[in-house]
Amino acid sequence: MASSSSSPPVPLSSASASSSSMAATSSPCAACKFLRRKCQPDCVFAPYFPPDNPQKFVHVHRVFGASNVTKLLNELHPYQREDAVNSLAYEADMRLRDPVYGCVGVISILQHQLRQLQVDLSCAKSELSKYQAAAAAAAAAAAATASNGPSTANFIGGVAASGSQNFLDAANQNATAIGFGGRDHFFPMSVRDAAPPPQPHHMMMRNYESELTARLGVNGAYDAGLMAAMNASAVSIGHLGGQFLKPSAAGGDDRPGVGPS
Amino acid sequence: MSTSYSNLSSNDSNPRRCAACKYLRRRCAEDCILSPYFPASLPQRFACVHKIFGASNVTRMLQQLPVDQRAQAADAIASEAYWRVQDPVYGSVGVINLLQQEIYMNQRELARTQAQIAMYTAQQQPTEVTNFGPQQDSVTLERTFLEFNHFPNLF
Repeated sequence: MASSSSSPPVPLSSASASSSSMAATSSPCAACKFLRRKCQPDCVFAPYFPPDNPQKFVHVHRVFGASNVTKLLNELHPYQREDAVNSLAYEADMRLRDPVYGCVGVISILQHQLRQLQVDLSCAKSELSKYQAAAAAAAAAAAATASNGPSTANFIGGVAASGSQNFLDAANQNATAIGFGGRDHFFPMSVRDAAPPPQPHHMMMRNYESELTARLGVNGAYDAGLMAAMNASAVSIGHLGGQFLKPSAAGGDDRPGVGPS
Repeated sequence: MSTSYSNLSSNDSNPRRCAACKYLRRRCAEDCILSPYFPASLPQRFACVHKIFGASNVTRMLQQLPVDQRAQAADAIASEAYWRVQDPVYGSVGVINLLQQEIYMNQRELARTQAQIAMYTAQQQPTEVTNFGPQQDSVTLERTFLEFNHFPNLF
């Protein structure tokens, strides 16, 4: 890292001028303060590591290293860097809180929750289908007796069947599924042979499924080993991802804004 | 330096050099802390980890852990590095966000399904349907709607 130690000392005659110019400029950013170097006007860290939050850079530097962070940020567009820094800060915090699993511990907990939800949903849908079958049978029986004139049973059975079917049609449009692909050539060594979780039937949401499958890789197998090894959560999950994502990236309208933590 | 180069030439065919030492072009010691977790058969694994975390950071992180926890830690670090390489802006935080969105969608779906089940369960309340005469049909219908007064919201 470049330091100001090699720069010539400022003559006394220009000290006041330099001090006045220094007073006009902002104080060094947290990164340059920590690294004990002069904070240049084009410092890549300055917009994202303000001096009032030194711990943010300390954590990021301890986990990733300043040079790696510099390289990462230089590869991104300026409008992406704030989100990148905030996500790096979050990962660094999680890694320091949980030196073994870090962020992956949170991901495993969420995967477990999601899998449990999918099982519950599958059970609920099968139970619902039984009710629908019974209602359809009742409606058919009522229709058979309709020749005797309008009856309450016919009205309720017919309305219930058609109403519930409309409901189902609307509900099934948003059904979801998660696919856990296998990237055995990359991960993980400790749980490579674990089987992926069973997939619920007839549930698809292509946008999320394809993206999660691409990102998670073999995490179905990974999760089995992690959940066997780790205790459930001293980790606060809350709005973890949402606070780092702009609404356009998250695809939702109600995400909180992104800002330095 | 010459020593390292001579080792390099002699270790080119050394199958025991781990991916980390191969990448870093150094001699792989017998007690190399990275070799159990970064085998030569998975060069990309260490390449990602080195790009994101750096070899010295990973070494220090593993050294600070008990030996029995290092395998899981190395896997977690490799996963985070992989996700960060795939998504340089959000990394594993993006995965967390996707999972949270999936959980939210599934919770909504489950609530909707349970509401439908509740509707059917309420229908099965004991209301014996008999063949009424034409004069009593409207009264019976009105009582039925009053009893199941939440139905109009669903239909």
